Amino acid sequence: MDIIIKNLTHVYQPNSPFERVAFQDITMSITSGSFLTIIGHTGSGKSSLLQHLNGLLKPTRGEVIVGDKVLVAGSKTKDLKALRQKVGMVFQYPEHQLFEETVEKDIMFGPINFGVSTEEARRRARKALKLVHLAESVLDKSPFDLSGGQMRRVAIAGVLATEPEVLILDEPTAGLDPRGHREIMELFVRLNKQEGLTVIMVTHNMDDAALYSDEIMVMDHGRMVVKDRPEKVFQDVGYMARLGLGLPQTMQFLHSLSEKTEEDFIASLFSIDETAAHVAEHLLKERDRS
Amino acid sequence: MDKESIITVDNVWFRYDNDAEDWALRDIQLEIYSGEWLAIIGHNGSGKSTLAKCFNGLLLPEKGEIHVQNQSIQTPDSLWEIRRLVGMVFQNPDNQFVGTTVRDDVAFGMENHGIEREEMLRRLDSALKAVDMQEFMQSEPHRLSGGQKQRVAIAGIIALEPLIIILDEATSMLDPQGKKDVLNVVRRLNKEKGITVISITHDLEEASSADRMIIMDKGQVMREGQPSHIFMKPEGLSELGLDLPFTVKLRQALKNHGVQLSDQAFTQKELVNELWTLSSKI
Repeated sequence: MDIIIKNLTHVYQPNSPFERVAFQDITMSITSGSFLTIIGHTGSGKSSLLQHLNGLLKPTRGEVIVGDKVLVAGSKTKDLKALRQKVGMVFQYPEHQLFEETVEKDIMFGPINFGVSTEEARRRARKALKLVHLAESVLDKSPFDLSGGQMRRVAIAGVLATEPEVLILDEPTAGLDPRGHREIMELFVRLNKQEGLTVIMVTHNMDDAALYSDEIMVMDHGRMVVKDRPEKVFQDVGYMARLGLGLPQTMQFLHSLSEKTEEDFIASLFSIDETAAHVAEHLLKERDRS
Repeated sequence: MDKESIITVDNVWFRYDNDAEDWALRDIQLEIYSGEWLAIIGHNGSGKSTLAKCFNGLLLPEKGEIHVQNQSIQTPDSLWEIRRLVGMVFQNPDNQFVGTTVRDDVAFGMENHGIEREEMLRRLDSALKAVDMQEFMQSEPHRLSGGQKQRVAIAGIIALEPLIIILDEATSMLDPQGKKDVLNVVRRLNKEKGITVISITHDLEEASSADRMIIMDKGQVMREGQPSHIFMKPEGLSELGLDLPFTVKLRQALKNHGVQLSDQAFTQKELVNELWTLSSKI
């Protein structure tokens, strides 16, 4: 399901003294099955933009097209429920929204709300649990007896059980310990690569943005300033610094190494092993030259 | 550094439910030294935040004792003073604002402590200056970024002239710049005013720059020492839900690719220096 955004602008409380432009004039498309990451400092308009993709916010100007659903400024969109079923949203700290007595009931809540039979919801709960790598034995447990990382996975399973085609993630790793962080990112990559879900993620973590996305979109003061492949986005080191965004750790390291040695080590590399290989090769070349 | 204890934790046990079998803290024995930067790490649910909340009496241990500057947190009379001495910054910047302007917010704590108006105005200025927020004195909280809000929270704390600041994942919701700004402010307070810092964090790079680190698991202190010593022996860290810091992983990868490095380099700067020495010898 492709997503197309045309000249989209959102203004909060328009025509009032509190009028505030969240973002303006954004035009872009997101290809079905791709992994897009949106970065930008706090208040740059990222979350407001996300909320247009499933109709939580309406365009002030412009339009959003998600599959066959069109949201246009000034007109009522029919059948928002169908849109929200296609576009699953995982908010920040989704585990704060768990509320049922058991994990099973919590996961079934979403599908039942969308009109699925109890029988089918139960089947989907099992399937979703498998996708997030939790054992069926947790189904009867209270979600509040689980660890933080497990609770977050249950919350994500609840969204997956509604069988969305697009998954929107708002800072999905915030507050997780390093292992929980790695496991949850691996989960999203699996959902994207194996299940074919389109993933749109907002994060402050430049390493995750660089490692996992097909494309990165950069927002600044309510405008889209760049949308490109990670290696292109991080190429302009000075520009990223001016936007207050920084670099992935690997590139930050290559940057300080270049400054110190006055040699050019800079390359758009994001994995530790590739970075080490690059530095090792560079040092060998130097030795051969001398 | 001369080691003068500022917080003493003696055989502390804590559980959230009096009948519960699992203790959130079990027999914690710990000294925190004046002027140090202590990082507390551990996986979600290991007891880090529970322990931190005991340091200023937000939670009271069921067994054992905690003293802050020789005053027991279990003595109701000293609790007020202890909460002035031990300031806490929490994770979510939106949950700790009480005032309608930055100025009111910083003044709130001082009013509660009955500080006189003249003195209050003086401290208001110097506290906002210390966190680089003096220009925002009249701003409304919702106009600030997350990092700015956290710095205002810190200003509210330092206006009370505390000895200790606890950061409970205080930078985990911030963008990279906001995070840097907050940590720089706290580092300055640590260096220049000698304020003791206890930082609870999942960020291993941040923890690496601490003077000392403890790792918690299942309510117990599993390891304690200098970060460089702890990460020198990586065995078992992954079972504790942890990972190695970036520099240590990169150093290992460089060695695997045949670069002749020692095991000394621990911070990014040290590793860059060692590679520089290596390349200039060629």
